[in-house]
Amino acid sequence: MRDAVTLEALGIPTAIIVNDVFEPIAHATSALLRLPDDYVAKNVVWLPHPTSNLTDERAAALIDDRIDAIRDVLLGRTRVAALAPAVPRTGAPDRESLETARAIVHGLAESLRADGADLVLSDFAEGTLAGELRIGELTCDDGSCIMPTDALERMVEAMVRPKIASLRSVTLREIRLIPD
Amino acid sequence: MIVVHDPRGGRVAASPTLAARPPSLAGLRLGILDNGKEKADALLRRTAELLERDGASLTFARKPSFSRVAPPEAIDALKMCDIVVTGLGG
Repeated sequence: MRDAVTLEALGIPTAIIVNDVFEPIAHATSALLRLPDDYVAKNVVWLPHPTSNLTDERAAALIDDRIDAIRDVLLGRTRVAALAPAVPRTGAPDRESLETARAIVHGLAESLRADGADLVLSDFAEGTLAGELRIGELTCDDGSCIMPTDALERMVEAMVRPKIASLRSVTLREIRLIPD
Repeated sequence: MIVVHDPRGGRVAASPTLAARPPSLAGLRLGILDNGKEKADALLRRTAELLERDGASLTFARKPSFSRVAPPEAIDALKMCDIVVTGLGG
């Protein structure tokens, strides 16, 4: 969203396509950047999460369904109700699965902490395990001592799925901790 | 007398300016900013393909990391565009 705001400030209308699981982050970022209250509603087109496992054909079909919404953003036309997040989250948090997942990744989190990062799992609902990769003062200068967030998501998914069959995806936010 | 200071700080950012929208996409230069996440390329390729049919021409830029803002060179590449679509994935 920050890139879109940079481009808007340069006079370039910018449409943002985002997975609906990030809706709370989109609203929080919009508020942080002091954007108009309706910025997210008018400029973001949502896709159902996850998208990383789509075939190219399914990915194309999702865009085909939303191309009018993308045009609407670029042309500033009034948005239609269909642009709301595709899959509103309604399921209750699954605390037991969350605790199981935390126990499974305990050793992985410990190894990350040894390198100055941390893995914190915070939510499990509707098959999505969510958390944060917190990056503090790393033991390496170039960040190479910790794996990229998307690779870590895949690793956590591979570790947890054998124990929790309902797991569909893992979403980790990368958080940079500012030293005191 | 006890003086209580407000610890929240006084920095207030100005609201960013949003761009004026064009009346149509015909003949516009379209920029695509790919954040590098899995499948972003397939989703954005299809977006570009459909918008090119509206008469827009294409410039493509990719972020080296989805978790960081786009580097200056990516923004520079898109400065010549009239409209941009960015995203996505996860």
